[in-house]
Amino acid sequence: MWRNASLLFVLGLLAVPPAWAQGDDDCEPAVDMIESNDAINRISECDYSDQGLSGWLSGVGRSQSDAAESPAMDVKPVAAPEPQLSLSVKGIGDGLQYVQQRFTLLQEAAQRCAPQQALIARELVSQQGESLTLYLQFSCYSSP
Amino acid sequence: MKRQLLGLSVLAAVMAQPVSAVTLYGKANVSLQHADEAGNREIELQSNSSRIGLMGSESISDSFEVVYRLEYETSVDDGDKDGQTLTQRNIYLGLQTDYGTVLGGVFDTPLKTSASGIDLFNDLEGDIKNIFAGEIRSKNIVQYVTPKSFGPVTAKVAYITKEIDGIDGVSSSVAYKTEDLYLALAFDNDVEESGSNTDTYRIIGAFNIGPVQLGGAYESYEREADDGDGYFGSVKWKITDKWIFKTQYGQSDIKVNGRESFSIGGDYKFSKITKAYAYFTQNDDDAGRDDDYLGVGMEIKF
Repeated sequence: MWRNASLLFVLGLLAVPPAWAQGDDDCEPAVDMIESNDAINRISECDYSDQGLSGWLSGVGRSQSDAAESPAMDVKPVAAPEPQLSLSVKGIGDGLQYVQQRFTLLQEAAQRCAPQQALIARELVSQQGESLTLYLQFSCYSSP
Repeated sequence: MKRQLLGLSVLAAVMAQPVSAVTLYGKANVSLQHADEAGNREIELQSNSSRIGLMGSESISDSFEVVYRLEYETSVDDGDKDGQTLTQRNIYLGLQTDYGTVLGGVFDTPLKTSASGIDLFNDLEGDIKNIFAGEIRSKNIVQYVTPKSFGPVTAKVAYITKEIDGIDGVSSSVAYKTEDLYLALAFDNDVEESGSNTDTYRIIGAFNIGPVQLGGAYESYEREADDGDGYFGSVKWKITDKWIFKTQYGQSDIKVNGRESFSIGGDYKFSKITKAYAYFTQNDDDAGRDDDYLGVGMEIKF
């Protein structure tokens, strides 16, 4: 009986979808991404170097107090102590694609590296002379 | 100023090499449940496929990348997983090009991974493996995966060598995935480790309506004189950023006649990586099995 009740409950929920539906454009946690059906094509797409245990191991997990005591942190442009974000996109075939893909990566960096970030390195790698792979690296700053 | 230039030049030198990184990932998932298995009642602490793994890619030329994954399971509840502290899960090494990826190792078959998004009680008592065949992590498996340039389509073909008397298996799948729609077809032939002359066919579909995800699957299984089929459906509703409601039901004659599995539960997300959850699952069949599970749990992904 309660199965029928739960079914009715579910149908009721479907009949009145809430207005605050939203998507999540970020990569899911690494353990979920790698379980997805197309994971093998996403390993190089999602960068987890500044997240989770990988981020902690690369120094991102330091406490704020430790960071405040570090003299190097007083000079923002010396970016080595800052968390970094590396993004890349393959298959760029023409100038329009380059501009579009670069803008997409900048948008993603703005979201994942809020509130402030700086582009610190850019590289284009040719693949058999046919298409290009664009690599961008950012430093993420915790305060503007 | 000199420090700025020095820092930037060091970083630029690092970036002169193609980006590669090792990602250490995993999760701890533990639940406390009341189990009523055919009248035997007990309180159990369960580790639900808690794991730790490494994955990454390494560019070896303009056209080739080495990809890898080494993943191990550990038991958060009692530290004993089949007599070991750590047991192998998905392990592979592969080569990725613009024309696709070839992998070799021990990992989930294309048929199994094709349904990974719709089983909302995966790794719990309501896991889809209760009713469907083909939830197999094969050893000695070589797999080809189509490249990312295929867009929303991902096709896989895997060859499983059992290294005995030429009784090898094949698993394959084709999937179409967009933001709100997922469709897949999958087929296994002689993939099961014990036995031959088995065929498994599976059709999977899922789509989103706003915050609601509806999923469903149908499977047909043939083994010599025996055969059976079954179906499965699931609903996930993202009520808020914090709360998720989910339920699923499946029925099949594949493993036992009249097997049914029903689950209902919810998640509360403390953050993107941490959640608490509660669930109720009932598994029963025509052979007399009548198991109920009521539990609460917690998960952190790292």
